[in-house]
Amino acid sequence: MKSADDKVKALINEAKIKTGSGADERTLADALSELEKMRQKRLTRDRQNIWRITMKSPIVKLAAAAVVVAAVFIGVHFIGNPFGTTVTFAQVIKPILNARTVVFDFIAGREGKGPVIHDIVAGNRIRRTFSNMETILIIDMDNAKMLTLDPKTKGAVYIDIQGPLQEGTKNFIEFVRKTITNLKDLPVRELGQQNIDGLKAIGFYASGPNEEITIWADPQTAQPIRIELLLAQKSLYILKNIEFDVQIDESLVSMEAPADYTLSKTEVNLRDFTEQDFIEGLRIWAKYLLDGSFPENISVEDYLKLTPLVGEKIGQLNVSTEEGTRLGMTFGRGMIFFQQLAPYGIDWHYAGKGVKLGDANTPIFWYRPKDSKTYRVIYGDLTVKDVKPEDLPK
Amino acid sequence: MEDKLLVFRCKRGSKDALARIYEKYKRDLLLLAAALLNDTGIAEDVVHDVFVRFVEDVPNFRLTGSLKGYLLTCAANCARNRNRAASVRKSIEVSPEEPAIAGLDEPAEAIICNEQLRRLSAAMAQLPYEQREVVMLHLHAAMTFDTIAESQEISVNTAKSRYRYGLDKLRLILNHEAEK
Repeated sequence: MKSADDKVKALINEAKIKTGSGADERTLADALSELEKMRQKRLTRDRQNIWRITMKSPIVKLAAAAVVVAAVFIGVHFIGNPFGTTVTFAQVIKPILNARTVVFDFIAGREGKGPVIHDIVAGNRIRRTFSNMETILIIDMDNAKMLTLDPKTKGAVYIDIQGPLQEGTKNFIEFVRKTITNLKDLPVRELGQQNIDGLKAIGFYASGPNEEITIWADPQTAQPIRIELLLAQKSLYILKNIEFDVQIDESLVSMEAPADYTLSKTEVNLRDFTEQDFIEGLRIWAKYLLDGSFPENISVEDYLKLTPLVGEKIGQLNVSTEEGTRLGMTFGRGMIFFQQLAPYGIDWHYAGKGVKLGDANTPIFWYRPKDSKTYRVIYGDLTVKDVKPEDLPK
Repeated sequence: MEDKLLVFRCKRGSKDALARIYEKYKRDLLLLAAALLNDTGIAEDVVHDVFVRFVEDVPNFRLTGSLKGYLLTCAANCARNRNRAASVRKSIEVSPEEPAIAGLDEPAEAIICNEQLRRLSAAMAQLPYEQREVVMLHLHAAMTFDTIAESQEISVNTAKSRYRYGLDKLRLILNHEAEK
């Protein structure tokens, strides 16, 4: 017989209630409006504080920062300045180069098309979450360890990420810092003032042989609010909602799994990503995700979109845990191989749209490895041939 | 951990994080407020006020326990204030002619709720407000008597007594209902 507690509990659990759509809209609109007011208030406060903070900083820190900024500043040529002396490129890149903590949203590809990655960077630690999956990554770059947390299953896994992945996983701000350093001897073009993400912003653009960078910054504080990186004219990366030197609760980047999670440690080989990984990744993509055809397009954005689906599809296959893990890892390693092409300036081309897996006559992907005179051409049956540039498919 | 991150992002002005918090907890808050106030329209107002105030307070907010617990406590406080101010609901029997929950006879873009909620609300309406609150906070919000006592500024023993009396009465009401 049920106790009164159980009866009432059961009634509460079975009670269903749903707000009317009007109520949701009203509550969210009012709450979001408050949030916007709060954001504006904070921006104003930050603007007022910026000079005070700078003045109060220990002189040693200022000197150290000046050295870094000076190093980047050398050789930067300004082409005009319609905004007088308000904001300079050097001021804009200063927080990018010096901040100890950074919080930002990261988008691979065009905005609104792919998932958004949210990074909290505190020193050598990164907490990374994704808009299209619940998995949380905590990355310890110094020790090359990664902790993955799955809130659904309450499972936590430690992964050793020594080797190339450690480099590849280094935070995007580090990547932007490197790019800015690479661009320091090239001319910087001012783009004038525009409304960016609802805020007035002044833009700067610089380009190198393999990269183009556009930085939009607050004209009053010089704080970057949006950074766009285009690599090899193909791979676009956007950083937005950027905040520097924010106070971060250490528990957010702790490598300790929360108490209610079950921890396991996995040894996975994350070194030496090869062309074979990429090919196997294409096979998995076509066979398990697209019923035998290659995708219309491939990009980091597409890979990121697919990541949660890959896990789901593999889970549906009648394979052992080991085999499922191997398939998932292979797809991931293939993604890393592909991801490395653009930053290294490697020329690649994809032509797999509409091609069936097994089609031995149709090339689907080709790329020229670094320092190679020939291209590696992958066909629909996933065989590979070395082809001279003049013999490439038109 | 997810809640901690959502609060952190909310503090930094993330609209997505705020919308996620709302979607995640609105049902729990609405159910609590509807059961306490026996009026779905006012319950919606309570949820509205809780979220708007949450945003107002978020710059100084520090999450020490569970976010759900915090929001439910806010909703209970807000519901208590409304109950006191308007003396909307009293511990009297609900007339059988009246809908078990006020607001449900209004057509609507309105709230959707099921028979179990009607039964819960009708039963709760027969308890003194203080007992309803302790019963709902303990059973629905999974709050300990210590926490309830602290949030209501009463002793732990008072919280436990209110719960016991409330539950005894609910047992009678539900048994009586089953016999019909």
